[in-house]
Amino acid sequence: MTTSTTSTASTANTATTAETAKAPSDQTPSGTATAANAVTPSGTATAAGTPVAVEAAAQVRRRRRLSPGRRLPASRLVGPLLFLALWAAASAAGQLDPAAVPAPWTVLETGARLWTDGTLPTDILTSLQRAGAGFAIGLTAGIALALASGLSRAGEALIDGTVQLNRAIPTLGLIPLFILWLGIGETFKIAIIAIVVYIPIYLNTHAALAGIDSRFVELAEVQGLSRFRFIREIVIPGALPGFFVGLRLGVTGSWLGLVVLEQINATNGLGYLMFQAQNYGQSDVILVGLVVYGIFGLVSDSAVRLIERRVLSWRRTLSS
Amino acid sequence: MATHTEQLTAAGAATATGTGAAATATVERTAVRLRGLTRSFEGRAVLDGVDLDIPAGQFVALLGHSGSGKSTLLRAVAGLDHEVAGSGELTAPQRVSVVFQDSRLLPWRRVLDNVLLGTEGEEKARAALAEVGLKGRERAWPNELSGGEAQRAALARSLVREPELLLADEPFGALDALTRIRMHALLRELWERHRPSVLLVTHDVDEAIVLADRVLVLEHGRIGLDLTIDRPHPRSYRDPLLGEYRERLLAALGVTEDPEGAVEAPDRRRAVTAADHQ
Repeated sequence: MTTSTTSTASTANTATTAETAKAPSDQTPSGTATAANAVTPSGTATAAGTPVAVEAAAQVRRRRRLSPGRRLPASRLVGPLLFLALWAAASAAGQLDPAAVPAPWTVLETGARLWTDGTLPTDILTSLQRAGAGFAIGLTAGIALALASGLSRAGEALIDGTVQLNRAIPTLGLIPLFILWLGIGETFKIAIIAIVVYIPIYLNTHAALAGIDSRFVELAEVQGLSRFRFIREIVIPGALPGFFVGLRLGVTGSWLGLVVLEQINATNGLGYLMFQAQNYGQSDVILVGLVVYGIFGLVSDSAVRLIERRVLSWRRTLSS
Repeated sequence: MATHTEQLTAAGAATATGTGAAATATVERTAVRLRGLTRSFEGRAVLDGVDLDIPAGQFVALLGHSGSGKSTLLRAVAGLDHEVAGSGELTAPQRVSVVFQDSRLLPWRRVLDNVLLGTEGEEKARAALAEVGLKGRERAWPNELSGGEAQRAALARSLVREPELLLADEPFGALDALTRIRMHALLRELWERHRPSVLLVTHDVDEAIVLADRVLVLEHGRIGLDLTIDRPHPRSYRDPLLGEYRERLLAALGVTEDPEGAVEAPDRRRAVTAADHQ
């Protein structure tokens, strides 16, 4: 296999030298040398190829494949669908207490009822606004702080230690303090979500910025890049893979923050809907809320993955 | 495609004659001038007063043991040794290109955009890629290239800047033997067409002899041997006259070549082990 690739490469090479050789020099010694090299090994390889293959066919097995192999179509849906099928089967067989775990179709009916009477759309919109606002602020802050800290020593001295300290404190533990400072309104909820989001984005982006290959820094110096172009053409694209890791953690974090916040001190939103349902023992409503949370999480994570795959199309990894 | 190559060769011929005339007019112009250049790491002088003049358009190879300071010298001329202690006088041209041992292509930029890094002019970049035999690969990602192709792309990137001085730090060290031979021919061909001064750092004596018009050996922090190789190009590895240069360079590098000893030694060793086993 290797001989065949080198021989094609050498023919391409001799073709180009033949094109350019008109003008200056005759490339005879090296040209004939490569031609001879290319012809003899490949010739012997094809001549000897068939008997060797036949002889060895009994013994040679393919090596065990270590990469996971080709991806199954819609593979991400297989697990959830199986789970749903088991749930439906158990409900239909009467194995589940309807008060504790209602059947899937009951959840569906409740969902449809809540949707048509207008409570579910309002709650979803409120929750989306909270998560969206908190996520946007957290994303902006995470990127800005990571850039400031990753691109200047002064920024690093000011920011990095502070963020590491912030990270050590569980963000949900800040809730009582934030309620005292900001009141039980929307502001404190958005602030908490923003903190949950910015930390993973900052940490991963900063690590990626700090880990830019020094060989590329050297290359930028040799090519005479300005500081601005160095950052735009080498530092930022080089840090993007790390940023996307942080982004995915941040998206997940925004939903996590939302669930917790809307169960404490909320007067509307999905979490409030579920909290009320708990008081009235409506397990089907709680499940509707969980399903909506799940759909949001899945859709937003898939969206980030899609963007990541587009932006980092130059990468070839195990998963692609 | 045909018209494109015609344009290319025409342009190549024009620059060749142009630089040829320029070369005869400014024979004495020096591209690189070093006087008493020292560089030291943790108190140990790696370069200890190097004096060197490289005339414009000369192809120079720099040999030395690993750790002899070859790369330190190249990095000093390239202006890449930021935190290295040292003194001395150093003059180098404005437009300097560097080819590293690894191709150092940015994996997130396509080949053409890699060639364009830090410069403008897509047509020039396309022409440079065609010149190194990568026509049609402009849109490829670097990780789709073979080692040889990647190094060709790196050569194109250095060429497109029309360097007065080309610094190459073991550019073929990571390539297989066949690819290396082809790259030697390509580098020499490109040099003949563009005539930059070249400083090629290598540990391969044969590579130095086949490619360069002047070979330097760096030892104890200074230029220990300065050898002009006066043989026509293209050179063959089997040219017996080059063998004399080879011996002198190997001697300067402290490697004594004793062909009879080399042949007999393994036989003798085998005889001894055979006797031991009996």
